[in-house]
Amino acid sequence: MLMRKRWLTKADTRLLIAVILLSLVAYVMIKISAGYASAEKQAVVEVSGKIVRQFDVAEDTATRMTIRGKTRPTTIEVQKGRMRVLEAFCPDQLCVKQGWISGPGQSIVCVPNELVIYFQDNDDSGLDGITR
Amino acid sequence: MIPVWMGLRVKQGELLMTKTRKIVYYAFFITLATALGVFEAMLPNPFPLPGVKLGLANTITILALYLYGLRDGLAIAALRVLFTSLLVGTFLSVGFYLSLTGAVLSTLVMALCIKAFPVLSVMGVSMAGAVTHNLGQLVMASLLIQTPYIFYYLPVLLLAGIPTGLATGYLACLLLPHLEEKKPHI
Repeated sequence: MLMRKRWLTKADTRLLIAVILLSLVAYVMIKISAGYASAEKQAVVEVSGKIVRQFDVAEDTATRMTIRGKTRPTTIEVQKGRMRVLEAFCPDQLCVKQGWISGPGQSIVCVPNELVIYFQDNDDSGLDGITR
Repeated sequence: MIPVWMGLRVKQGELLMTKTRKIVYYAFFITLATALGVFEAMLPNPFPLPGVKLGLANTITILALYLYGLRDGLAIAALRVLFTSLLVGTFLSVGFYLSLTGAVLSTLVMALCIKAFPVLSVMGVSMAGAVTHNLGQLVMASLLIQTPYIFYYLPVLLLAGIPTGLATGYLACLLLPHLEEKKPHI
């Protein structure tokens, strides 16, 4: 029978380091892509990949809205140029716990409800949706 | 003399390989993997991150891959996901598709690692499997909800795959020698 090493081999360690490096690279790329801040921004609400709400957010915009998600309603609050999920009727409430988002590129995703909310720059309005 | 058409074949110097034997061992592995999956779903998630869990059932997939190869490993992994989802009640939900994609992708990658990189230990193979499991889930999630923004979660899931993969790999590493000694032939 083939004798197998009980602990990590050199190749394992290399793989481990590669995975750590890969996650670092991914993290840096995300930070860079989210880095450019902009005063003019739009809040976008998507359900199942379709944009259901899209509106400008300024510093003094304050509103609440209830969106019908795939399965349950979700209440979103916009205030002081930030937004958050105020109330959601999902089991683990991860979207609520995530709190406020403010910058373009930041997003809150609710997988069971297929709901995504995020900010985007007003400038790049060339692309406003993804279709199948 | 047992006639060949009854499904009995004799491998040189090995035990009789019967259809019944194969069915029994398949059932055994699938049941074990399903039970571990259901057990884990009942426990509160020890990690404060969504989508991150230990993945004890992965240990069974690794054992099946090392003992029997890709075809059986893949079948056991896919059926495990099906039965776990039926028992937990997530069949055909978003989570089911995520698990299925993750399980199939990680099994394929682990089989590739075993074949192509014999320098990797069982724990290394398991780690590769755990990381690709998370990666597959994320890709499937982004396809299902049609947004690239979910990839913000990629670094977290990649890193989470390391400790969980090493843990399940270590379990498989401890079990493999015992199973290989009296390897049930299917």
